[in-house]
Amino acid sequence: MQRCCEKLRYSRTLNNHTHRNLADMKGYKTLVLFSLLAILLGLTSCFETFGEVTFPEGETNGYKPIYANSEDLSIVFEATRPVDNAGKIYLYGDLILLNERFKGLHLIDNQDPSNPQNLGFLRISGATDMAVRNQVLYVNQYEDLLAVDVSDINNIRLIAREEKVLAIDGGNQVPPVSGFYFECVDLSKGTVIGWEMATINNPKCFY
Amino acid sequence: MRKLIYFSLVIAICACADDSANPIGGLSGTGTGGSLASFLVTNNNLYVLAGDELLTYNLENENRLLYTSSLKLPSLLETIAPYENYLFLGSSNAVHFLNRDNPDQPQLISTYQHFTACDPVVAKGSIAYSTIRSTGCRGATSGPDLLDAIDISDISNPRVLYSRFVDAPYGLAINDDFLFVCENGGISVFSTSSTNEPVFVANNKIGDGVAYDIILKDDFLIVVTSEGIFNVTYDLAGNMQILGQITS
Repeated sequence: MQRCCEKLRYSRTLNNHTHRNLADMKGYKTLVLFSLLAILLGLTSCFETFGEVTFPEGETNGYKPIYANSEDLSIVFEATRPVDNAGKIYLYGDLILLNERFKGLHLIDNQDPSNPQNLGFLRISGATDMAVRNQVLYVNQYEDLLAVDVSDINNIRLIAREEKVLAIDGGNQVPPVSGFYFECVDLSKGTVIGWEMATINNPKCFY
Repeated sequence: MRKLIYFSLVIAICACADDSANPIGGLSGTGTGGSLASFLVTNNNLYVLAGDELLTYNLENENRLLYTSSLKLPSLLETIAPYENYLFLGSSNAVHFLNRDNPDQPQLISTYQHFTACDPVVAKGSIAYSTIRSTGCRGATSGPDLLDAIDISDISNPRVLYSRFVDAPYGLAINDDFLFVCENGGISVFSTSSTNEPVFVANNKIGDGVAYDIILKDDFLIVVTSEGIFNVTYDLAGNMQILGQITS
């Protein structure tokens, strides 16, 4: 509970910081106008949003930490699955890669744009972004950067794993997006390597 | 003749099997990301955003990832886009302009400061467009949502040309017809032809979800929304029509 209150104060400080930045930009008449408006909006939202955070009883939607060593890191091409939590997109020829956040990539044949075909799902836990060059997929797995040979989708070969290169110092202690309840981090369970949206129980933290 | 038919059959069967088993296998070269991408592949390089650092890898040897450099910048990096010989990095409080004269080691040229917000960037001619989203953006619980036009004719001295309010903007894309901005849940279409100031033309809802990002493909747009992906065409009045989709 104490942690959460500190987090709220942190948010307030950020607001003040934003206002100071705005005040610095005296050069542009329009920006000054925007600043004034922003300050007004900011103050209102400050009090409304952060004055009265209440924590719901029972099940609710929120972020849940993912701890290292609890995840299946294998990369497997599987049957299609519904698009549930769409993330980033990448176009490679007429193939669309659609990220299912923290789960993997939907592979979609878009040769006929009036009838795109879902081909299957490349399971890569922790994936949130990707790019492709010459049949090599570059993708993250939580904080690791992977190079994966996908020239034969049923015989995927890991070329390289750069461990932890995407880690942000202390950045995993709160969810990637603000405005959500989250399951408080329990460091006795290990290092947090990422976050997922899930049904959580009696959350006591908010960011 | 019969041999030729058998041969053709074998080839046809192989080709079919290849198509279904190897959706990526038949392709080469590089692809295109959306404007919210934090990974970028160019000819021989992979650029990856990691916190406040740009990591660069050389890919000439495809059997390894050769780390070549990292560049630390003073803010949390969110998006990366290529433009001519430059890289545009959107961050939590600025757009950074980099050159890649040495593609293994990009160098900072200049920075365009703004509020604490999230901001992808695209460019056409000598004007860069950036959406600046405070709504739902980490560390920016208040502040305006803006669409900025930035003069980059002198890239060492970027200057704001125009700033307009938009609503919860996400990704954007630009072609010779329009500037497309994911905004207000749908896609707003702006004309950029006559002035520096993007002129609002139309806003289109795409399905029932919130539009996040766009990739331009020849004569249509690929749009990702909270529901999935949509192929969308548009007319010169800025009105959009869904061609096809994959949703949950």
